[in-house]
Amino acid sequence: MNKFRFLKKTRVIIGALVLLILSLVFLDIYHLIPVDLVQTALSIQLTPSFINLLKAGGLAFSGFLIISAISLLAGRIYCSTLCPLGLMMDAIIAIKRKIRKKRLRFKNSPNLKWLPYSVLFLTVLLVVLGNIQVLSLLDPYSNFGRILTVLFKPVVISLNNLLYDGLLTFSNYTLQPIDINYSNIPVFVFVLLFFVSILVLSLVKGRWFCTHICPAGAYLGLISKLSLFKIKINADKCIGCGKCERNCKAGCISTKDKTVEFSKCVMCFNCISHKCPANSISLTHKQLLISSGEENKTDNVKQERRRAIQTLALSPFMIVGSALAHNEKAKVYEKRTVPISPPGSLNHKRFTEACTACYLCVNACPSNVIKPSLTEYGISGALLPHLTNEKGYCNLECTRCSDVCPNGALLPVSQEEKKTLQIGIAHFVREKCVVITDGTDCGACSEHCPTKAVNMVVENGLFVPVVEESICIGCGACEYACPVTPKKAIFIEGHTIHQVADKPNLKKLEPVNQEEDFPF
Amino acid sequence: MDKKQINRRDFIQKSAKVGIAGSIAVALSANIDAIGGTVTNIALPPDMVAIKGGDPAIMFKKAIEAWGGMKRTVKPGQTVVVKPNIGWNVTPERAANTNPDLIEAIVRECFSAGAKEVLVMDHTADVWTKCYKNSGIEEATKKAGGKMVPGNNERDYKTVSIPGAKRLKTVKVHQLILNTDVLINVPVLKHHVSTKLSLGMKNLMGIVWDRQWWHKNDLHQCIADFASYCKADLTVVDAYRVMKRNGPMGVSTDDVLLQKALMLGADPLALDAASAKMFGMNPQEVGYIRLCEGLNVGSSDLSKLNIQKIKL
Repeated sequence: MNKFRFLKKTRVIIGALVLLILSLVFLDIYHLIPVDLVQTALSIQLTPSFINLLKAGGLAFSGFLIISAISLLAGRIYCSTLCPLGLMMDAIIAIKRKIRKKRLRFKNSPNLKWLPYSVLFLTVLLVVLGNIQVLSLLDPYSNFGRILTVLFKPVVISLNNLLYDGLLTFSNYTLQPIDINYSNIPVFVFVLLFFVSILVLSLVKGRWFCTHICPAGAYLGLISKLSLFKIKINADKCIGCGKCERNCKAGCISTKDKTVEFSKCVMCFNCISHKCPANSISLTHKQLLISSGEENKTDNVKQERRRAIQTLALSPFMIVGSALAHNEKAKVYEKRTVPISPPGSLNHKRFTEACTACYLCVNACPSNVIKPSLTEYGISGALLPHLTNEKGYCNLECTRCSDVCPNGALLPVSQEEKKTLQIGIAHFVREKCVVITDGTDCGACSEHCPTKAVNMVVENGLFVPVVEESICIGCGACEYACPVTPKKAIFIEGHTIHQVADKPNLKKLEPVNQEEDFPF
Repeated sequence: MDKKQINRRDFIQKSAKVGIAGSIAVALSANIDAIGGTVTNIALPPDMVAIKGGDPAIMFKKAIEAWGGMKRTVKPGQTVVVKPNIGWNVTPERAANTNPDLIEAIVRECFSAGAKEVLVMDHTADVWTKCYKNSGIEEATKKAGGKMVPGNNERDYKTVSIPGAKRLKTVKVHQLILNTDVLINVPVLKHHVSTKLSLGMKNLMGIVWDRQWWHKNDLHQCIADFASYCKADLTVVDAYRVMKRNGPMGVSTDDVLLQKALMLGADPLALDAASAKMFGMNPQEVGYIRLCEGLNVGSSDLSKLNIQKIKL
């Protein structure tokens, strides 16, 4: 049994490391982790690499391929070593065990075989049809990201700020005070409810979510039917003591039938590492197990695979289709009517079809501009990130959000491209401006404008803002700086299709004559 | 801490009320130095030093020498806060922020004069960590042994009232400023879209919390009100690179001209007036300079001041 103990230990160590790294990626409040490292850490996540393949032409195809290949070799290894939500559930179970000093006991769950595959079929079908919302709500990686961003990060920042205040009394400035970027209440409640459900579910039913709801799990379960290595009970030897079943978080072992439903197995190795009294459960090579019944199943699986491949083959046409999305002229009045999607999203149609709302961009944004949306993109775009300009504005040369996006929902933008990337246009509401209402100079909007698309012109001895739309990039600096509340006197109207702005045209200045005398 | 805070307030009030007495004391201390034999030519120290034609650090070194040394402003054991303009996330060539070499030279001089601690801060307009880094000021300060202090934390700001203010009756000021012995204001001379020029008194907007309120409630009057409350002990105007248009941030280096000048002194209003002239503008065109007349901030009449002019 020693080799199986070793397998479990390896699984636990890798899992703990991955959970730690991914947590750090989402809780990196000082933005210390280099972008390359974030990209690498996320390249082996199933859903993002799948979406990336489908929507962005496969920049992270390798991740999807590698995980699929691993599953073909030895089942749902991903679920217990790489999936952050699964690892979070494992951590919850482990913590509970540490507190109660008692091992949780699980039971074989009733065979709702249709459920995971229905979910998988529905989500993939919807993704192909252009709706990613169902996948987004069920995807383990995105849910993990949301939990960390919306629930955990504010706690980490609060602790940091407490510590900062403490160090301040010794006039020590090692730490930095950090602004908490609270999400809106409905999103908070939704994520909290999901987290509590996962918490309770994992304590009561182990990995039930993974074996019944999770679309990534269903896909890997499908592949693992073909696995080379499988967990198998030798029915002849089994004495039916139920030890393995009690330890199985996935509920895939039936002592009664002396079988393992391997498509549900998350490869935690708990069953084989706890010494089987009859030595009957083990990880076995496929050749030793194949019975006539299983061969038929294999054929079914092959058909499903074929369907999946067909879907993938269709993806180029879909990309072309989304590129043909029609241009809508932005309507601008008192309030933003079109949301501002993050740079690199190209257009709203493409973005709402590719983003699973993992909020990595929300975390990555150094200016706290990106926040979860509610109905700004419409009901089907709920939860998606948008730019708010409440706490800051999109920095001219910053490309961090598009650099880290694992889905390809935000495509990489170079620093040079970013300087003219027009994500929206400033709209000036003259009647609200303090220069007009109070007759005093202000100019906060123009002060902050990086391209001087918002400039000031003299009118009755006062400086009044004007917007030159062709060089406006929609960064929101003017909206952020405008002192008029609650409705700003200048705001950004988002673009449904991002545009390229003109470069500011600057004439050369006459150099200063160094020989001139002092003017006083 | 509270005690220090009172000291600071007292200091500000005293210097506003009996500015003349202060300058006499300074003059006396300079004479004592002269008796000691370090200065041969016995003369009153200048009210302002203006210098042209060198690199920022060299110009500052010469100017502060002419001023009577940093010891005229900083006494041994004192805490000094240096307040540059670090408002924008741009490199030094863009001249939206104070020159980092100048800050380094100032911090070094403070320590040479015996300062216990030199702290550098600004309440930035852009993301503060980026501004501190890309302006080069963080590195320069640390190289000289000073400390960078964040200005983005509302809890660090304490409400003070300004007696006699027209608009800005109360304001939240960074506690570092309230607690320090010496405040050195180091603005960069530049164009400004709505106040025409960003100068020393405008630069003090970086030590208060709610700047938006100023913008909403007569910006020029608020700047003047605050100038009447908070007078820097020394103002050093960086006019090495000068942003001539599109200020206060600028669009590119095309907005910037090399002027290679620097002015320093203790009278904020006089320095702002001189800086305006240096920029090529009549000081009376700048709203807050006009509003400061008769507010005990200082004098904008440069003809009555003893200005030492140096060309390198």
